[in-house]
Order: sequence, then structure tokens, then C-alpha cells
Amino acid sequence: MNGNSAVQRFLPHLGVLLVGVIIFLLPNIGPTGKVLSLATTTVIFAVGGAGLGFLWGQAGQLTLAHAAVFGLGAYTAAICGKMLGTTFVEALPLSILVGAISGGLVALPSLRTKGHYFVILTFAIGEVLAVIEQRWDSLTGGANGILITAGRQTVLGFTLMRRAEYYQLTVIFLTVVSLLLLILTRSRWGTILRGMRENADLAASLGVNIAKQRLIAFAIAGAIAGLAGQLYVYQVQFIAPSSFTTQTSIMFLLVTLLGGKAYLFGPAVGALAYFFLPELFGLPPITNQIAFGALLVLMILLAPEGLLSVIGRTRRFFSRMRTRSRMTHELEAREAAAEKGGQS
Amino acid sequence: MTQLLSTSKLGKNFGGNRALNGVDFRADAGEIVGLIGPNGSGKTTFFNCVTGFLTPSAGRVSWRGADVTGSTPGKLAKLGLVRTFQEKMVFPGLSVRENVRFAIIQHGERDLSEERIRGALTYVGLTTDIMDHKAGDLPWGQCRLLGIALALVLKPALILLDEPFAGTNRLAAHQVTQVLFKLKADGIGAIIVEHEMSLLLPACDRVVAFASGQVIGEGTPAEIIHNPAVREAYFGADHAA
Repeated sequence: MNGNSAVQRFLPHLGVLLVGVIIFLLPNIGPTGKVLSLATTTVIFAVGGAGLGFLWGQAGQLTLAHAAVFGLGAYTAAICGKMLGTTFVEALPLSILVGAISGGLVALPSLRTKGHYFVILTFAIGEVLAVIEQRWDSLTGGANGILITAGRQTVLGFTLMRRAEYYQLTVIFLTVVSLLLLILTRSRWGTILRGMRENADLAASLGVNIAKQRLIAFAIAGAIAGLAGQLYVYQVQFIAPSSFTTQTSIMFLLVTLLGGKAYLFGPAVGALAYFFLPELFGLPPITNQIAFGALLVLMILLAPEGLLSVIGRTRRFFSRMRTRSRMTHELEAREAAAEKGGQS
Repeated sequence: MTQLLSTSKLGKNFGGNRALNGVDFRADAGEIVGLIGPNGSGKTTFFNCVTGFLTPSAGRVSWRGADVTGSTPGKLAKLGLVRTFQEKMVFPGLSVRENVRFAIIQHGERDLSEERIRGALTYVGLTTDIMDHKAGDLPWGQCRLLGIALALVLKPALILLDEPFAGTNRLAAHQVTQVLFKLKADGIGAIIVEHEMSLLLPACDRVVAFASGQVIGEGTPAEIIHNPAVREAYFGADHAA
């Protein structure tokens, strides 16, 4: 490998690292409390969206029960905190485990149904879970929800009750989840998942146990949603069934779609656009929603593969331009040489 | 010759429609068997039943003498019985390289080197300059060859090819034929469903003819061409003699 190509390969990684550092140090540039709160929500939805992006983009499985699994993770942390007095760290493995198990359970209908039918089933599962959360008063607090407080808890030296520090902690979780998903995507198993996404029958004929691999993929996405749920409940310090309806699933879906489901950082970019773009308009609420809706339609029309696909498309455009320019130069040089030869 | 695959009184019903009706069949190691029959005669249903994509309604499927009726496609692939598909033969959104990588990983090999991938492609006559192309962008004939390459990476004892010549141009058809001869030379058995007789028959050791979900004739290619029941199934009663 020559020096130039090594630099070219390293540059994107350096860019991602730099952006990561800037995001982590956001509190140091003195944002308002509102911006910081919105940034924390963005990062939490980026974590949850990363799980859906993995499932949808890599394994080709779309679920509308993602918010329900996200909610179960949140309820696990809240119920454990309130009833058992567990800390954030103690509740974390439980939230992840509950997310993984419920994610796996959502996958079960996919073993007998396909495509749109499966998506409709996941929608139904999400609705059923929301009803259970609402009706099981003794455990979930029903429509009144559960209030929790982190008190003076610290995790990795970050105080949960301090807005800036909690934001930085969520960025660390996003980094860990992204690294984990990067490793999975680039692994041998990642190739198997993409193959299943492209052609499940062929994958089965080549020896893949489709049911087992789908269950694992759903469990991983569920575990990430469970983690995001716990991060969410410790941010808002209140939990109610209304936070985890199909509307929240659509939010995850939009976040993933906007950034690009095929990209590791697609949901993160999507979450950034979803939460911050409406703020930039600064219009009255209803006009703002209309403007944001129109912008979403425009984005999906112009970049159906997600905002991150624009980078690849731009790169390919410039590459084509360079090739065209080089060919023109070569042609001109050849013509000049031919003319010179003719004169001599 | 060692018997690999056999079926006994195999049947498959779809509601009131009897797609397969008491099919007795066998394929031996290293043997190339052609499976012919008019449209709707049950060839693809037979493929689906023996490869685990459909569960038979009656009868038994055996692999090396053991009952494998109702086994999953994955389990059968691990035993050495692999198939290709008529339409969905590759992973269209993945590169050719990643297609082959998939099969190598599934075979449990550690070696994912470029050389290993090239070897799999050149065995079926594909050039290695297509490695970075999306499989879905390849011409139909190259797709077919790639599909066969994926199945062969698993080093099967028996490969079931579903219409390998369909939609291919002359060059690709010639390449598929060459692959069939290579399989034979390497002792790999094959069952081939095909309508294109002029391409199929020269490659086959034995041909089995289906009609209305039943076996109506069996023999060498020469015998099957002159079989009255087969001629009747294809051309009607006037051409049976």
C-alpha cells in the first residue's frame, strides 16, 4: 500500500473520530439547556435507531414494535429503580436482557410470515404491549406512569442528574453501540445477514438456519432498544405508556430512513435531522410541522437511500468528472501528437 | 454405484390439486440425471420436496439410505444436497465477491482469500474482473453460473439445477454445459430440470420424464426420446408411436 492510498483510507476514520470528539465536547461550547436536552434525546434516539438500522439495513427485517421494546427497557429500569431500589448500573443488564428477550419474541411471527404481513403483525404486537403497559396499573402505574430520580448516582464518573454529564454518558453509549455494530456488520455473520436480506431462500438452500439467525438479529436490535429505553427514562425521569406507542416506532423508522438504513451512522444523522431541523425553522408549531413534513418528503425524493448516501453520490459524481476530464486531456494530447506527426 | 438420493411413493397435494403422486426416484453418486416434463408436470414441486422447501404430503425421501423426509434445506445442504433456483439464483444486492464469500463462510472454511474466491468463479467459467460488480447487475447467463458456483462452494455430493439453461445466450449455455461435464469428471452428481432438450440430453446419463405428477418414463437419453408415453405427454396421442 502506498502512502497516498493509506492516507485516503485513514481520512474518513479520522473525520468520524473528529466529529465524535466535537459531539462529545458539545457541552463545553456552552449550549442552552434546551439545546443540550434536545441533543441528549437525539443521541438516545440514535442509539435506539442504530438497533433498528441494523435489523432493517443488514437483516432486511422491519419492525413496528421497536418502540414497544424500547418501552419495555425503559419500564424495566423504572420499575427496578422504584420497587427494588436498583441503581442505573444494576438495572442496565436487566433492561438489555428484557429488550433482547422481547426483541426475540417479536421475531417469532417472522418464522411463519413474510414482508408486509410481518410488519403488520409487529404493529399489532406493539399495540398489545402498549395496552398492557397502560392497564397493568399495579406494576406500570397505568396512564399516570412512574416517576424516578437518579439522585446522586454517577456512572463512569458522570453524574446522572447533571444535564451536560448525562449527555456525555449517552454519547459514550452511542460510541460503544456503534463499535459493536461495526464489528458485527464486518464479521462473517454480517455477510450471512446481508445474504438473508437479499435472498432468504437461497441462503436457506446454502445451509443457513434462517429462523435462528433472524431471532439473534432481533434479539440484538431488542437489546439495543432496551438500552436506549433505560437511557431515555433516566433522561426524562418519568415514564408513561404514551411515550412508547406506534408513533414512537414511526419516529425510529423515520430517523433510520432519513439518515440511511444501510449506514452505520445513518440513524445518528437521521436523529440529528429529525430533532434539530424543526428547531432551525423557528416557525409557529403547526407551520413548523408542515414545513418539516415538506422537507421530509423532499429529502426522501432526493435521497431515498438516506442523507448519508449523498456523500457517496457526490464522490461518484466527482470521480466521473475527473475521469471525463482525464479522457478529454488524453484525447487532446493524442490529437496534438497526431497533428505534429502529420506536419513532420 | 452408491445411491445418494431416493424417493418412495412421494406425494404432494395443494388443496385438491395432486402435484406429485407416488413418485419413486433415485440418483446415484456421480450420475447426471435429467428431469423433463411439460409445464405443470411436478418437476419443481419434486425439487422443492426433496430439498426441504416443501413438506411432502406422502411418501419418503432418503439420503444415503437415511430418512430425511421433511428435513430443512439447511440440514440437507450440510449433508451434501444443494440446489439452485430458476429465478432467485444469487444475492442481487451484494457484490460477486460477497456472494462467493457467503457460500465459503457457510461451508465453514476459514480461507476467504481472493484466491479462494477466484477459484470458485473460474471453476464455472466466470472471469474474475466481475468480482466488484453487483450480482444483480450481471447478465442472466453470468447470474446462472454464479448461482451454480455458490452451490458448488459447498462441495455437494449432489446438486439440483433448476433450468440452468433458461434465458442464457449461446456462450453462457456452452459454459453451463462445460460445468456439467466438469461435475461429471469430478464425481459430483446432478439432477437437472430443463426444457431445452438439445442442451440437456447430451450431458445426461439418465433421463426421468414426469407428467401429471407421476414418472411416465425413464432411461438413457436415446431411450427417452423414443418412449411413446413421453412423446404423448409432449406432443399428444398422434405422435406417441
